[in-house]
Amino acid sequence: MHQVFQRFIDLLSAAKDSTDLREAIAITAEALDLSCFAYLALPRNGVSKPSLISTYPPEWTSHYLQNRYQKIDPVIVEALRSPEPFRWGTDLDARSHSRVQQQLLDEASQFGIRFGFTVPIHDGHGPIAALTFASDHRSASFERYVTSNARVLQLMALYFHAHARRKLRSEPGGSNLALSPREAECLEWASRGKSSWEIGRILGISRYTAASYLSSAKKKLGVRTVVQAAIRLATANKEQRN
Amino acid sequence: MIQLITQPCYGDFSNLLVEMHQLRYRVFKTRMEWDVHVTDELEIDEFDSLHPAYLTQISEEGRIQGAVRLLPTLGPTMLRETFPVLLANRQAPSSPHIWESSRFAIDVPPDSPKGKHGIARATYELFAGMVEFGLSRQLTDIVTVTDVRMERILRRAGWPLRRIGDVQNIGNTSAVAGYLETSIEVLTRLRIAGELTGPVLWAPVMSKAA
Repeated sequence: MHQVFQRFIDLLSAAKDSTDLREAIAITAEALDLSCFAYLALPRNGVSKPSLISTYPPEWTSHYLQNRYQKIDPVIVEALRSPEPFRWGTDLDARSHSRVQQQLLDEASQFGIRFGFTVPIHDGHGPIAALTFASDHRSASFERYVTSNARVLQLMALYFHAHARRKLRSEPGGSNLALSPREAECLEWASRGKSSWEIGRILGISRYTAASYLSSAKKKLGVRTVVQAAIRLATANKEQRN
Repeated sequence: MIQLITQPCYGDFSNLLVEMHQLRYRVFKTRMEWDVHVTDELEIDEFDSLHPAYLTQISEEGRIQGAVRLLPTLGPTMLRETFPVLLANRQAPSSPHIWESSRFAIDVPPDSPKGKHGIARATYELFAGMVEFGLSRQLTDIVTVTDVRMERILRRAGWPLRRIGDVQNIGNTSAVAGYLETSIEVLTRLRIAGELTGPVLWAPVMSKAA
């Protein structure tokens, strides 16, 4: 058991970017006989995209983020409510879920996410992230591990969070803006004086799609006009180069 | 006794590390009301991700009563990154012979044994552990950010802080940065004042040696 923790710490220490961080915890999840894990960091402003490091199937995570499932996911709801780590699973939850929540759980279960142990991460200003170890089956060895080592698992989650916060902040193209590549592209052209129609022609998309990318980019940047958005993007790019 | 926990041994002491973060929660969040990152009664910050060395003070009953974190000043330090205001326009130290101590925490029952000047022996032990650690790594000094209350305790104990700059109010704390000498002379003084009979530091030895 101690070796799992030590190996995890060694991998974290050597990790340079989010790929390494993912690898560190993937190896750990495997050693604990778990199929997957997910670390979800929520933006403080509630508008930007959450950052996610996980070994969940990509079809599931993109579906999850697209539908903003983090806002209704019962596991995340519980993680926001209390900082106490908890176990969950298809047979553990007697609580009643809303129809959409039940649908989310059913979908997750189709991707093999049925049981888990979640460590909520709260900081001085409230909830900020959650790390979940998940599996598609009940495993006796994991049950034992969770029962006797809940605090150590929690420590692992918190160390992971501390490393992630430190390393992701310094990663180029950092998530402070969290624009999608398409949004950034549209904004780039808009800042060069192109209209939505022109951007649509350049990128081979409809003018309405181009306009909607611009409008979501504005929303993410918390500004009202495309000009403001372009300035924000330019400033951020400059800061990153410095 | 003082247990040294360095990164290659974190795994062997994972439960003790949890207790240390709980101790830090009790001392810094509950008692001193600092604005620190806490989750579920554990206090952990970004400097804990730099694989520091920790010294933990363990009572005879095996309970953790004190802890301190040590980081080389060649890497990121709290003084440089978090409290540069305490440097009074001087350069933050960056030397293989100086480490930074932070998160110095002691939580002992009121009736715990005292050394000289009304200071708990557990506190003297942790001080002596820091000096022994420093001597074992050829350090000349430990640099630290502390508050005026702790500075008084250090002076009474015989380990005076050499201030870098003036006291500054940070949050609810009167903070000050300075150097603590790590020498045989200091260690001798602390041992006498703390009524310590010999070395306090325990470092894990190779358990995997076949």
